[in-house]
Amino acid sequence: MKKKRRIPLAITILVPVLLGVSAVQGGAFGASVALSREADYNDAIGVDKTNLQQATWKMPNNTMEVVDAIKEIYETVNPEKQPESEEEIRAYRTNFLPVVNSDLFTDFVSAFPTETLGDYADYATVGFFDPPRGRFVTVYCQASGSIYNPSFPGTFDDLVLPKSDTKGIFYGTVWHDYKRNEDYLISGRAGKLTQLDNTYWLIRHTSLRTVYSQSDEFVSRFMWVGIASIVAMAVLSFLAIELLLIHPVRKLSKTSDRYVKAMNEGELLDQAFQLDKKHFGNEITTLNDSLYVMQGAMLEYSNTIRDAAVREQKAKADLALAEKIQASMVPGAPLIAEKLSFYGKMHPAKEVGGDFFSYFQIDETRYGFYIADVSGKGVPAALFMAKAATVSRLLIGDLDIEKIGEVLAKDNSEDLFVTGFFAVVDTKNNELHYVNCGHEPVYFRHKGEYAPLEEAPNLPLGCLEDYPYVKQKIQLEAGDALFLYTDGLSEAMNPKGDLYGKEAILRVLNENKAFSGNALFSLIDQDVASFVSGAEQSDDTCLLFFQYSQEASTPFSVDKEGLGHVASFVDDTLSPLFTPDFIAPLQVVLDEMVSNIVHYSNAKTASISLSYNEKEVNVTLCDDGTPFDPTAVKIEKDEDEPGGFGILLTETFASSVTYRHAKENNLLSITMKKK
Amino acid sequence: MNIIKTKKDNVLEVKLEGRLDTITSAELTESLSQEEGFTDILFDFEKLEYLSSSGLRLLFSYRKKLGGKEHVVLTHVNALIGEILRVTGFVNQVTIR
Repeated sequence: MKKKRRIPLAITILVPVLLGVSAVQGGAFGASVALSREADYNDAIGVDKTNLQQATWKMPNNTMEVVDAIKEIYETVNPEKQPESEEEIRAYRTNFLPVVNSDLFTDFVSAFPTETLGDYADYATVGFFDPPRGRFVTVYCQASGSIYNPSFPGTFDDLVLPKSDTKGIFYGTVWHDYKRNEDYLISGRAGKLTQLDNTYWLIRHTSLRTVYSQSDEFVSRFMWVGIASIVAMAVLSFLAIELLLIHPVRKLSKTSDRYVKAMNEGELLDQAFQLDKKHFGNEITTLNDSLYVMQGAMLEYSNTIRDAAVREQKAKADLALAEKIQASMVPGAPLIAEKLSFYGKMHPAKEVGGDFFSYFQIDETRYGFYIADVSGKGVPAALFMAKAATVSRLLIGDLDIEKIGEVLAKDNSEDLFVTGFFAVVDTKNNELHYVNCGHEPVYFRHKGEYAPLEEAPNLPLGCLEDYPYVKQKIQLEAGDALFLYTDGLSEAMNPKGDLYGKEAILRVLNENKAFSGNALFSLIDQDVASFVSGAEQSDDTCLLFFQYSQEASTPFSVDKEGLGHVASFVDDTLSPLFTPDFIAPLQVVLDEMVSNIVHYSNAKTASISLSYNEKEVNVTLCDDGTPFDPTAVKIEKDEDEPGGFGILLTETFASSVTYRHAKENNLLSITMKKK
Repeated sequence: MNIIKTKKDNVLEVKLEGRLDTITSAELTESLSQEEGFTDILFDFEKLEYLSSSGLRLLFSYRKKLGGKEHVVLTHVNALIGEILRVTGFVNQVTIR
């Protein structure tokens, strides 16, 4: 921005104001001068003005003789024109010296009334008119004395503006002072003419009054100048304030309105505020400049934000896509096969994470599964996870952990590593081969109880290119199960900072050992949720459940048809493996429990799942109806209206019955064992 | 479930085939409600797999209606049904032959 000389607004306003004030004072000064002049005059006159009318003069007896004597010489000389140079004046006036020096004149002068002086007139002049030439010729003036006195006997004046009225008031002649070369205006009001006879006149002069009149005029002129100055300064001040203050502020205000209106309509103007060409450099123009700069900055800022928002949107979309891709890298559904089943659940803390799991069939009898956790979080972990998941998927068949470790350790610029549990189960010989590479403990359900699986310690994958991983093997029995998790579960944190912990996991597993798969996941989720009580999930979490039992499940409608469907589903599923003797009591129990759901739960959806092996059947009923715990029903021994037979029969025939309510669902597990 | 009803004098003989569960109990209740003029009822459970608590309630309703355990007779009770009757205390409410 161009640097401008700054004239503060205060000065802009102050200068005209000061000028105005001085103008007012000038006017006041003029008025006071006028007043003092009048006072001077009154002092000089020394008498009340009203005396003017009362004064009378008594002219000397020989007045007419003196006038005649002067007139005679004047007509003799008969001057053609007013003498102008000093020589001419002297030569002209010398003509009258004989009269002036005569006794007649001396007597006349001594008899001339002197009381007029200092009274109401300054001096008196006696003279006569010379009408053909338009002159007034002086005979005697009290002020006479010097030959240069303009009233020396015989001197004359042209009557410039002769005016006379019937009262003999004489106006408008010019009395010229040759020496000072000034014209005295004789005011008619002050000079009073008295006609002595047809030709001769006496004029009473009031020279001070003349001065007064002049000073009157001066003063009034001065006052008018003062008033004019005040008005001019007021106008100037107004113009200055209007031009420098009000107009720019009004303009700024209008521009601001326009700017805000446009902004409310979603448009950010960049040319609303303009740089002022008439830059006065005061605060208003400075404000204008600031707003001009601001509008540019606003637009730039707005564009920056918009760009950032677009980038963020895109990044979010990318992450969402990445999340989808990552989600597609883990199994989307349980794997249920003859003799075994797998369930998995992935819950990234951010959009993408470093946890993963998988399960799949390798060949006719073998299945591979693993759960793993890449160090770190977010995109870096997810990228490494993609590599680790791919490598694991390709090499798990032979449980070639060394190879997996080697690939992950190579080109590992960020020194990321992967903890994981990798396993292969062979249904032909019921063997489970597994390696725990620095991962969380795995819980093994054997004979109905969960306990940590015996695991040899190994380094995580990705640390060393050649590391001898210790593989282990156990013999699986029907009904065995494995629960695998990543540290997002064990390290779930409550607001106090306590961790959920391994003990809690083992506890919740054994509390819910009758449940498997997704029912178990929701029971664990519920327990963790009540522990963290609203705290944000801090880490990715993956859960994997493996059960060495066959599975089957079906939804059923909450009505009479649903009852029939459940009965035939159980028959169809179990009859190949179990005798009717085993199935019938289960049907009795299920008829009780399912009819409870159908008649009393008001559920919208319900399902039944069976997990079974040659030794036992586990049934899980799930419905989203009113929470109802059938195991808590009191058995009534009322003979008139017997009730509670359902639970009585269930407890009689089932090996165990467990009720849970998790995630708005009633979960009922019924286990029937072969005798 | 198959229901075969035979009436001899004052005795209504009901042969049941299949399962007497929640659904079939309703069917049976409906079916028996059409029968009148009998003082005793005889259920032949030879071909019945099992009965559920709704079946038990049906038996109990006839036990009350006919006024004594001797008026409700069950024959060919299998082990499971026997167990069900025993657990629920119905063995004392009906006559088992």
